[in-house]
Amino acid sequence: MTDITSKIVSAGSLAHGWTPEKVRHALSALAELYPEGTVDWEEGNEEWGRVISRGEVTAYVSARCPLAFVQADDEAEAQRVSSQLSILAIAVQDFDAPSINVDPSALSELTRRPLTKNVSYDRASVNEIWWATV
Amino acid sequence: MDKWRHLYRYGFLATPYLLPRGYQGYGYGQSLVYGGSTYVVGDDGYMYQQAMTDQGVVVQTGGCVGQPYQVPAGYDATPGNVIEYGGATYVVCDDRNMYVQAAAEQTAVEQPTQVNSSTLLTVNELRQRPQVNQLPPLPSNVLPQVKTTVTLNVNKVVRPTAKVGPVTRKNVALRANQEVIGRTRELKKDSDKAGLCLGKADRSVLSMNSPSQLGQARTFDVSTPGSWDPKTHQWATMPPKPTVPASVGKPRVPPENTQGGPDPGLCPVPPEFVIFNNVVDTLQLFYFARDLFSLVRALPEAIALLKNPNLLKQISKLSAKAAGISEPIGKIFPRINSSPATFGKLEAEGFTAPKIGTNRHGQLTNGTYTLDEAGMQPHSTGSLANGKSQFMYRVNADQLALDAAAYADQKGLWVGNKAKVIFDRPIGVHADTGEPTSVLNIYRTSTGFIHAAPGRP
Repeated sequence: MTDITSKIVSAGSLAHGWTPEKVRHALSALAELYPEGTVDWEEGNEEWGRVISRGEVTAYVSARCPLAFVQADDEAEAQRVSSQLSILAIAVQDFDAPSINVDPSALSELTRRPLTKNVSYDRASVNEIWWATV
Repeated sequence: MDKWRHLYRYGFLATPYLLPRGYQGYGYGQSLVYGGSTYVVGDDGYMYQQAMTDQGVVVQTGGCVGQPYQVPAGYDATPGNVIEYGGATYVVCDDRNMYVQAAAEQTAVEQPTQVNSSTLLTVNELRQRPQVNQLPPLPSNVLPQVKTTVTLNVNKVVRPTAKVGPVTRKNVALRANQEVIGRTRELKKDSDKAGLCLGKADRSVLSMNSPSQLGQARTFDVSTPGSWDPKTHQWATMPPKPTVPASVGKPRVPPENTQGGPDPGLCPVPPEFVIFNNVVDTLQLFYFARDLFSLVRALPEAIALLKNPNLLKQISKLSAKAAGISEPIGKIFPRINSSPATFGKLEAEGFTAPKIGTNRHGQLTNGTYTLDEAGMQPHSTGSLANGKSQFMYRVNADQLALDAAAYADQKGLWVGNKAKVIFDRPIGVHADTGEPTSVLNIYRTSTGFIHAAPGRP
């Protein structure tokens, strides 16, 4: 179980200056890393942009702060993405696996909205984190 | 150009006035003071406003206004002589300087004062008018540069009453505002007579030109107040006012009245103040007024069309064709079952929405998906202030979301954990643009929870 609370807080502190242009840039760059990668983001309406590769979501980029979930086998790949895009990338192998632990109050503060109780934030998947905050 | 002849008299935009009683003895070229303003008598027997001094425009005798230029060597400097130089036309005035005729463009925004059939221009006429920036550059050692256009910021509708007095830019703008608002009130009366008002079930979508993109037709839903956004140069449509509370499911808190004032009810306050909320200058008001006049003229035809279902169907087909959709709308878009109070039951060919009930936690479910109220809540506040798209008030969003999720399953619309369903009518307004949207985004988890939001149109 990976606790991402500290990363969320760190990314939240860098929210100032995280513009839609940077979000689009990060999404485009990530889309190039995956085969047949495409971007899906409704700017101004959705809190996360998605990178879709062959019908599967392979990355999420937050519109609020420089934070991304990337589907990767190891942390080194995420580090490369982080340094290239000036973004805090969290590598996760399976977006559906309940592998994440996060403090819901920190997540709620970041997204500025009350969170659903239909997700277990001490045992959540990346997809559930996205779903609860999109 | 005949229509503009009097406008370019003496090299500046001028409005002809009849000589007032007691002044008939004044002849060509003579100045007179009347009503606090100075006029000069033209060769056609009319008098013309001499200048708009409150804008700091240089005033010369003989009605010449604008930037003075030295008459180039080799040209006749006799007053009244017309000089073609550097691709532009100048007039030599009494001070032996010449004044560019096209400088009148700088005051062209005054045109809305003459709102009548002889001075309302077509799009083509507006395009044909000379542009200041089309003038070729002149030698800088002889002639100074043409001044840049003055941008007005005094034409807000919040000051619609025109002062009685000289034809200053400020007064022109105020009179234009007054004219537009007056005409809009007439439009509102006509709309009310025709039953085209907010809260009515039958809506009329009419076409009008946006101010800054002449010739590009935009549709404008007369039953929904809208505003022109000068930043994005797009029409923004505001979320509809609450009329009848949604009743299916649990009662919903009515949306905030973001525009202030009393709850408008079925036919609310005249929409012009909403429409012109963000219109910032006289030129835009002028274009808007012209479009509104067209709308008034077109209204009887529009009403006739709306009364004929076959014609309406034809229009739908044409609209679909224009949008690049080859099939009839009814066949490709799921339809929403309407009732006078709410709508939200999805109907589509070959699709039967599953029955909706509640689970032991009191959550709405259709057996496959369970609705997440927390996820729906940001899109049901009735306000775009939080940057979230909003469901229209009479849409039963809960039922629609569950039905649409089942529809997405059947049609294979899911891409990962998100699906888009497009309906046959708007179900909400988009947060970013304020435009009505018939797109519903549905978000799901692998455990079967869903929430939904109006998507990008």
